[in-house]
Amino acid sequence: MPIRSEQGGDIAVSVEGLSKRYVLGEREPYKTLRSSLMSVPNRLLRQSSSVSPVGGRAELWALRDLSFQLRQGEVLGIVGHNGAGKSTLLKILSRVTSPTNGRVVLRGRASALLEVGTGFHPELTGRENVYLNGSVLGMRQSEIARKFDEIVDFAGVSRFIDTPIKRYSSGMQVRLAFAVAAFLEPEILIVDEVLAVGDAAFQRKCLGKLKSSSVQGRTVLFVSHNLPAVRSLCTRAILLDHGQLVMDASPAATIEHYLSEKIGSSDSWDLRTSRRSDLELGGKARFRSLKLAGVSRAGSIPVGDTLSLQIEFEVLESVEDMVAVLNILTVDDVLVAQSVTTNSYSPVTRLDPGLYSLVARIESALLQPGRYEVGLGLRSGSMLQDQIDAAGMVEFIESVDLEFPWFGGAGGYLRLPVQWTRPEILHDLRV
Amino acid sequence: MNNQSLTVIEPPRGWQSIGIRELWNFRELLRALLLRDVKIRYKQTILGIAWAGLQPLVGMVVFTIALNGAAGIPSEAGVPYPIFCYSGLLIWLYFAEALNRASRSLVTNNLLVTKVYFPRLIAPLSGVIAPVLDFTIAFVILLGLMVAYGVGFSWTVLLAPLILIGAILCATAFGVWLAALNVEYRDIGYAVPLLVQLWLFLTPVVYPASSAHGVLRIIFALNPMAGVVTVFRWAVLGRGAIDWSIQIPSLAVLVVVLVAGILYFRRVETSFADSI
Repeated sequence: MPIRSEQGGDIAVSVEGLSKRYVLGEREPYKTLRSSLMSVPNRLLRQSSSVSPVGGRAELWALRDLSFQLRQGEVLGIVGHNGAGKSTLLKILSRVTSPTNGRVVLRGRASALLEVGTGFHPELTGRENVYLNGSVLGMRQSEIARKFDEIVDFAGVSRFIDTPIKRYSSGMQVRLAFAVAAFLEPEILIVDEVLAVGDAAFQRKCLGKLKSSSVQGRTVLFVSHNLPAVRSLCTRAILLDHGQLVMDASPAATIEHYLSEKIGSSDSWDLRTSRRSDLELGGKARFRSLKLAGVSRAGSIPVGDTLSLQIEFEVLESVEDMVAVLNILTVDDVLVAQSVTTNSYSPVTRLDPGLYSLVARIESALLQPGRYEVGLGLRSGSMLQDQIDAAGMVEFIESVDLEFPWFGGAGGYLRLPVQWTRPEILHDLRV
Repeated sequence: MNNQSLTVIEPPRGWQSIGIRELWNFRELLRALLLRDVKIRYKQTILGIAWAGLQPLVGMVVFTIALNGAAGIPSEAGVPYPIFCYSGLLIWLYFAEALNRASRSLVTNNLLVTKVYFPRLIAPLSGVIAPVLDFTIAFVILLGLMVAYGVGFSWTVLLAPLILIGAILCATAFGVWLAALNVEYRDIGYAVPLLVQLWLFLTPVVYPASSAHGVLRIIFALNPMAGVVTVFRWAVLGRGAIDWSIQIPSLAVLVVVLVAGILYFRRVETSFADSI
């Protein structure tokens, strides 16, 4: 195998034809010979569907024939839907579980961070847990001792370091746990969604720490739903879908592809085949379509313009007390706003079978520019009849061409109608 | 980039060696887990470490009253029954605790098993080593009891640590089997206390080996703990003789169970994270 890639630079991580199969409903069979024999016909007849019954049992290929290489110093973001195989990939790379087929070669000392604070014990003090957790992550005692003060300082818990951590707030526990991990110095770092913890200020501190680690020539594999973090931290990103590699490109291109795959840039969506929520659904009423009015064909609308959502749904069996729900979410699945029809009128007492249409008009969206997902729900009484978490997508764009002298747009989700005054001079300091 | 570590991850390929070198590389993790277990063992208890001595002492009192007093079960080689009983219980209770901990080790450490890589044998090993501390405390009490009862010391008491290693190997042998099976079948967790209870009576702990005949002697020969308990008592009390008709076959059984257990464990360990 070549040690150097065509583009030059040393290959730090090489993944070749990696597959992982789980048998659903049953435990993983122990007999390696049997499972490898069973996988042969399956490999020959590789189908697009990832769940296929073999030998009477359903099996799931969490990863299928995945191959990619990573040069030393690259920071790879791994994105995809839940269940796309991201976590399975990291579990194999960190050797927690073994692949069914294929192989991985890691060149350099690798550390995996599938969770922060693995092994933390509530009865032990902060100090004892730092040592325990450090050992669990593969650090030597001498190494932990050397970095101990820095770790405690980074976590900001020095006053309580000899207190059992069961007396810590959950935020303090998380900070201490992340601080230990932040001082790992592997050549290859494998990180799962660990940044979703802690408060915003601490998250920024951690992102900064991760960023500096990539500057030091470290190879990083990073799974996150936090797309802005992937965009800013990674030098490359891959998109997984049903265990297969769909795209391998720059973070911006991969994220764009992921988002358009997720919903599609459009102004209307057929919802009959859309992915339903995992929640228990009554199914007496179902959404059929969503259409945006007042937007461009690509689904964008200037901030502040009136946006109309035309919703069609079908009632299959009579339902009582029908309420429709509209959710606006960021692409990272943060719920920004929610509106229900009962804001405007009481629940419709009874709807008989038939096709119905409904319009939700948002007079002036107070949202910052960016892409937002539209989620829809139908409820009758307390029973959820239908719910689609990502029914459509709308992009709010800047209405006037403002030229901000700083990077990116304004922060936050909401655009408050704030009236600013011009600076007025209070006191003239010119001599 | 020449002398850096290289890790190759491939599908499991059947039987594996014990992996001594890797275990050695992870010795600091073993140490950290042991330290954790020792530190949290008696947290939030009033008696604390005194529990280590209390357990065999209470056992000694109860068995002396019930078995020696009421049922007339004798001691051996002129040793006072309480000393005879305590010395047997001491090594037995170590084994019982070690086996129990080892069999639960993977399940109780499931957060580690599913989130980090380490040689999985570390888990049952930490389970069998942690109770050595309790054993040591109870052993010191035994020495005190021997002085109190006027039982003299023999040079063979120096062999006690060696025989403790025999008990550790014994707990490891059965512990790795039970730990691996417990991942798949949680029944093991319920079965082990029952198993230990019955096993106690099939081992010459509270009665002398010499009083057994027929089937029970065959059971002793197949029971590695029978060998460990009798030879431990011989060493500590310095009386009687080693019964080779028990020692040799029970040692052979121990070796077979230990080797087979480790091989089985190594073979199935790759699926622990998926099925735990």
